[in-house]
Amino acid sequence: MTSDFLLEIGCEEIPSRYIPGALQQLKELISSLLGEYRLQAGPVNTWGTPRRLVVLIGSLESCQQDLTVKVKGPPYNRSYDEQGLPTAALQGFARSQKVSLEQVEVESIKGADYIMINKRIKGKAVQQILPELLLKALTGLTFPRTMYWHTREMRFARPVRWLLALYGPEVIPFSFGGVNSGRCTFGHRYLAAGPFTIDTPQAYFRCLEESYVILDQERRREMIRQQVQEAARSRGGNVVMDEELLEEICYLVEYPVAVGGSFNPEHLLLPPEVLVTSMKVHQRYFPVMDPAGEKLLPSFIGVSNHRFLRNTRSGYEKVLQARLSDARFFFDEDQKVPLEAHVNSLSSVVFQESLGSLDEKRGRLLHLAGYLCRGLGLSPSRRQIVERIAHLCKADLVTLMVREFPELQGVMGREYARLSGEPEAVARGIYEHYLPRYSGDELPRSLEGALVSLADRLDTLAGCFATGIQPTGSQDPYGLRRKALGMAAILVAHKIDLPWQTLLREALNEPASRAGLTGEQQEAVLDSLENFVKARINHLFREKGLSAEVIAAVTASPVAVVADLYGLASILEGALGSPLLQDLVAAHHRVANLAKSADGGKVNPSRFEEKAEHRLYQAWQQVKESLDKKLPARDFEACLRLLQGLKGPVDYFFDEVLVMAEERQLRENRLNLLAAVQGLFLRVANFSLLTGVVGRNNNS
Amino acid sequence: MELQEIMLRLQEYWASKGCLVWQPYDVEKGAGTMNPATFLRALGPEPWAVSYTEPSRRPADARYGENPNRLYQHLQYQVLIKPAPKNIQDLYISSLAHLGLDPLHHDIRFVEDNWESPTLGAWGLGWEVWLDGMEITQFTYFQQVGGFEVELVPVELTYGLERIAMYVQGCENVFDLIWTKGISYGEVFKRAEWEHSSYSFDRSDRELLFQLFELYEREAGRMLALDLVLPGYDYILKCSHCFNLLEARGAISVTERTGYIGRVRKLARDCAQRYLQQREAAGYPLLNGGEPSDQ
Repeated sequence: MTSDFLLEIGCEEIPSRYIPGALQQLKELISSLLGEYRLQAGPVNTWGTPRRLVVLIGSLESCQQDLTVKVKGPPYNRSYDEQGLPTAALQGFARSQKVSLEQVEVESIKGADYIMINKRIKGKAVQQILPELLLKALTGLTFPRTMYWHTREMRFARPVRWLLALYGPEVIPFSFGGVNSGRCTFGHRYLAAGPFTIDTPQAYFRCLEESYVILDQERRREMIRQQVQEAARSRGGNVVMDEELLEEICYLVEYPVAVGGSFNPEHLLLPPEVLVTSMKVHQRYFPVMDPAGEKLLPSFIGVSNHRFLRNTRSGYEKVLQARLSDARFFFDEDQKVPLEAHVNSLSSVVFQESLGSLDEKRGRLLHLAGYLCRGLGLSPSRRQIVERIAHLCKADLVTLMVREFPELQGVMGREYARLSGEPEAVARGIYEHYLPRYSGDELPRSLEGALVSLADRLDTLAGCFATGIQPTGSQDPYGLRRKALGMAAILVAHKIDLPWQTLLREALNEPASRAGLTGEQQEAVLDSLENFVKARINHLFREKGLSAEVIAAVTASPVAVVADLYGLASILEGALGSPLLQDLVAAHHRVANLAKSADGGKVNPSRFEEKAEHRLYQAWQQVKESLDKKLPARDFEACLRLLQGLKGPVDYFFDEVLVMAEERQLRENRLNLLAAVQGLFLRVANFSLLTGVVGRNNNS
Repeated sequence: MELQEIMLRLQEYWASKGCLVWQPYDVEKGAGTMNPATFLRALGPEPWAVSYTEPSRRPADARYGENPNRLYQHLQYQVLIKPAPKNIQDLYISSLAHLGLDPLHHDIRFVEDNWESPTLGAWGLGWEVWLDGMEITQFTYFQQVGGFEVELVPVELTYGLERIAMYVQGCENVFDLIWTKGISYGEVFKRAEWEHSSYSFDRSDRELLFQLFELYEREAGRMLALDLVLPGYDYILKCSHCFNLLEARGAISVTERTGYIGRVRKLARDCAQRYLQQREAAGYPLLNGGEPSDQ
């Protein structure tokens, strides 16, 4: 016998962003509880709106499965007397377990025999199990934040106001947060409030359908998508669908109705980002683009929870109008002075307590940006642009617009720079210096912007580490991991030809002396900073699809330019499974084993006795000379081929020469030759770390 | 509908739902929550239901009367009910209907917004209520007040009166609101907005304000130590207003800010604790039908 079981948790409006997670959890919790309670059932489905979380357990068996358990009785030797008759101990056990003496068995446990019975526990009716199971599910749900409203022990995202629990036609009684379950539900808050009495799970879905509640989130989302596009089309435009906003709105409404509106076209003078932020972030409206997708139209599409639109459109328009008027006011005020003038106010804003004001940060950025330019040998005119970006890049933080819309930092800097007549490269660089803002975000396109972004990241990382702020576990309040990852991404993308450790060292100088660190302390901080950044470089390479072994092999080399590390690692990754790499790993392996025992002395060719020694030595000399040219030229493919050329001489050497010769000088000279050969390999990568993956074929 | 009719109707509505009609409190404050009828009464196990209009001063929001939406002082209609009734959302929606805002003809939405007052050591979860896209009310279930977890969970409704009136009157500028026949909001408050903006941003004496903060803080502490909770609380409110003035003046750096907030919060916590002790010592009169104890 099976029936469907339906649970509806009726709530005051649950925050939109909580709901998808809650539905996922409910599904998993209920499924695992069904297993735990030995209840057989078909699929478990969950649906949700702001006012309800719903679970349907299909075809739930009416009875728990029976269970057989073993119950251990007294030891066998105390269960029967000399006559073989049951003792009082055994009789007592049988009585307490309600079994006859014929049903007992004997089992050996750790070498001793015990009386044992296999007890069959009859499954309970599902009606008896469900109340406990449901309470566990409800108390097991977690939300980003919870509250209490009845007793402190019962917590949920928002107050629970009704519970509907039906097994077929039957109510399953339980209570949570001061509410008793029943067969009542409510419809749309305004259009069909209810309450409605529900006979069966099937009737519930019909009732909601008739009561202006679109329960299925997938369907609701598609309705919104379609309505929004239609409304945009009727306004002669198009909506570039923002899936995140769509998801948020999907859980803000039970009965979605798209509402198109317009705003004063004069506001199109505002930067598009300001318009989009006002619409999306503050009002949850979709901005409308022209059909070519190039510029914004003075229109928006909101999504109401209601089908009567008499007041809604004008209400939506009015609110947006007020916000945009505010923005216009800020925009006009901010422009009364050039961006340059806002720099003067940076000294009154704290960047971070121990790292001084934004103006001090600006000073450090200028210094670091200059350092990078010199290192890269940039022309004076480009260097001037970089320094101008560093000088201006934080100025927008004190403008009215950014104080009102913090998410527009960088964007407003760019706009105000343009309006103040700064060169386009400076304006763009100001925007770019915040990039990438999150994983997968765009990177600065201009080198000038990239360099200031690097300077900013280096300064924040070094500054935080110098003052003892380091991410631990899940704690990373200043987003340092993200900053370092972005730094690595820029170093790769712009092929910044400077050793990364040197950059960290330079960035640490000022914050370390500000924090009063001793030389020794500064070295220790640099060490942990290097480890931290190295881990981020690793992470970036993994994200780009390189294997852990390849990354380990290249980061063990003296190559210190991140872009080179990446280039080299990509070549090795591509060579996995190739004869080239097999040769390299094999040759390195033969050499490395014995090279460990070398004393590090210089190779003396006059001590060679065998032809093979001479040949390997010559090969070493040739390869070394070529590597000295090819490595600085970053021709890593050529380097690998050069090293491959060592395989023949190495094999010949091992075939012909007894390395561990009796005579010490002879032996040591041979070991030193091997160490020298290994040294060539290690200039490129630690090939022994590739042993496990060399056979892996990337094409399979 | 005139602004004053909105106030009258809300008062009438909530009185009919059992709220005591309180009055604005005569010490400067940033929000209706700081009225002792909310802050202190939200504490403890006694039931309490109250509503009142509260002028709330926010020096940093001052705009010399030039911005159509922002004010140095705005009017809140405040409702506090402890414990929160189960049908509080419905009661709230009916109150809007009482203002002629029929929920069948408007998009009324509860959008997540959690409230926190660091100076009062208070926070709660709830929503901002949207009327056709405009935020008109803060709806909060208190969880902590004065640093103490609430014993009975109160619900606080804070209506933004100017916003609602602007919506109802179809008005684009707050100063054009009709307060009552022949008198506009601008007539009542525009000059005050300019004067207080001028004071908050240009004329206030930083040194004096710092001194006042210290004096008020000391006096609050002295009164609390004498178990004079209410005079103590008045000085806490004055401290808080002084802090807001200093902030508007840009006299407090981000770093110092945390320190000043912490000092006010410490006093608020002490005050809350003493209030709770007083009510307990008085035998929680409101648990016994509201008979005052003769103390």
